[in-house]
Amino acid sequence: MAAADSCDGISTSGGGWEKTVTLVSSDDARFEVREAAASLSQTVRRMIRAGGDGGIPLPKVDARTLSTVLEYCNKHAAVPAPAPESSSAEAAAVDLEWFDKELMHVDLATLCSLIRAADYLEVAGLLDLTCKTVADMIKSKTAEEIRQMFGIQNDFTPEEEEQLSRENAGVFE
Amino acid sequence: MPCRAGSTQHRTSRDGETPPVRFAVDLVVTRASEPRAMAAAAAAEGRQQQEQETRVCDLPEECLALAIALTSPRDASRCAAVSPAFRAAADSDHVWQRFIPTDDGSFLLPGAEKKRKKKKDAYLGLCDAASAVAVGDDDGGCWVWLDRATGARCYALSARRLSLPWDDGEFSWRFTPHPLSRFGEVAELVECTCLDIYGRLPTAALTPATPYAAYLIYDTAPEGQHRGLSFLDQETSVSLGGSMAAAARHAVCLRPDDAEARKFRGGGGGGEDGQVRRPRRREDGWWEMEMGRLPSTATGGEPEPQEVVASFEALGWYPKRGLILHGIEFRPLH
Repeated sequence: MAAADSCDGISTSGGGWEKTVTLVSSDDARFEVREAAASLSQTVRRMIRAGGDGGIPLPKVDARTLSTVLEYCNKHAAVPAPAPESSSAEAAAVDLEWFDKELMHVDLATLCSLIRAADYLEVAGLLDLTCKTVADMIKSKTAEEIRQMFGIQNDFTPEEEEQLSRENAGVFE
Repeated sequence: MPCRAGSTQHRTSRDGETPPVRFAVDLVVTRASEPRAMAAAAAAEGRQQQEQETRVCDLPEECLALAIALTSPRDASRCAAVSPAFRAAADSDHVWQRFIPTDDGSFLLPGAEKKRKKKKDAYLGLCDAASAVAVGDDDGGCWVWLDRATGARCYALSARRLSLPWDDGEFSWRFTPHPLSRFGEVAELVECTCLDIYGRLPTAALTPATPYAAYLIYDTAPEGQHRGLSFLDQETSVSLGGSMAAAARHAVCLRPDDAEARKFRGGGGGGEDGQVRRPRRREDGWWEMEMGRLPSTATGGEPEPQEVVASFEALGWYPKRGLILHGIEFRPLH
């Protein structure tokens, strides 16, 4: 055990040996993660390849956001290779879908932080999931309703406003 | 030395002490799903968090564009009116590229629109029914354009593309030029006793996961020159794969005429609910009759090629004349 302790990046999980990496958030929180999960982030994957020790710094992601990103990565990396049309694969897909849905039960600021983080870390699945969540919020709403929902000021100049209404007059409504 | 942090979140200590390494492998994050917890968390996060808090309008344009591209053309156009930041994202090529259907081989969209500089302009150029383009075989009998609000494909089949009854031989129909027809010609009913019209389109041509309706586009010859088009024995249906038995039939009347309807009374008609569907006069001068609706096709699976069949039938055997048939259109429902 002493050998394992001194060797940073190796831990036991479920009886097997799994390689882990340490990620460091902008506020200096350290997260030890299985490499398979961390590699869902293309940014982290590149940094793992580049090598280095003492943990991988992620200066653009805070601990709170990173922990949610890693929750996503751990769940999605745990899915075994798909065996199409098997009932277990189907159940796993349903489970993942449920997990994703639950993960998106967050407030708007958190959702936006997640989008930024997924974009920076290049976690394609999470970026898609978060953007889809925003898209669903936008759908079938008027411009004013979107402003209210997101707390956005209408900061068009009167000229821009006029140009907009000229361009869009009756085009889509 | 790393220590296991268990399942609760720890705040980073501010006194410079080395923060604990967490095993994210089985980290359970307490996400703020209740407003009170959220507020408490937000307060605790303090100034540091405030700096990092991202609002939707602060998202990078590319991220906002990714989200808007997952809505619809109408939603994107509304987004463009929200704020300058939203407008930049909503008018971006990434968004509109997604709304332009990719060629699937069987139904090609015109190349001309692809050359336009801005994808939004290219999209709008595909939308007007007036700028529809001929697709498929070279006979110019099938035209396609995009529904502006949803981006779904719309089709018009010319009278040449429809199955028409020829029970009275060459005297049944006459193809003649027509100033209002994009096809250049229409089919004029000279005389027939049995009138049934069928239009077919491969389901693969329709935009997936979109509910459609089929419409009969027509006119009638001037008063006195048409006959048998006002009786209440007309039916339409729209079905998948031509399984007419399963298709719902709708009572319609191409040329409603109360006097004619009275003469016909007692002869049935009126459909299941007694309602006879009437036509609608379009801005382009044609009459339009909804023939029926098609359930939206699945997004995946069911690779079996199928056809949508739209039909019109007048049940009675009596002389009919003076129908000017433009074609059948398949358009998404709103």
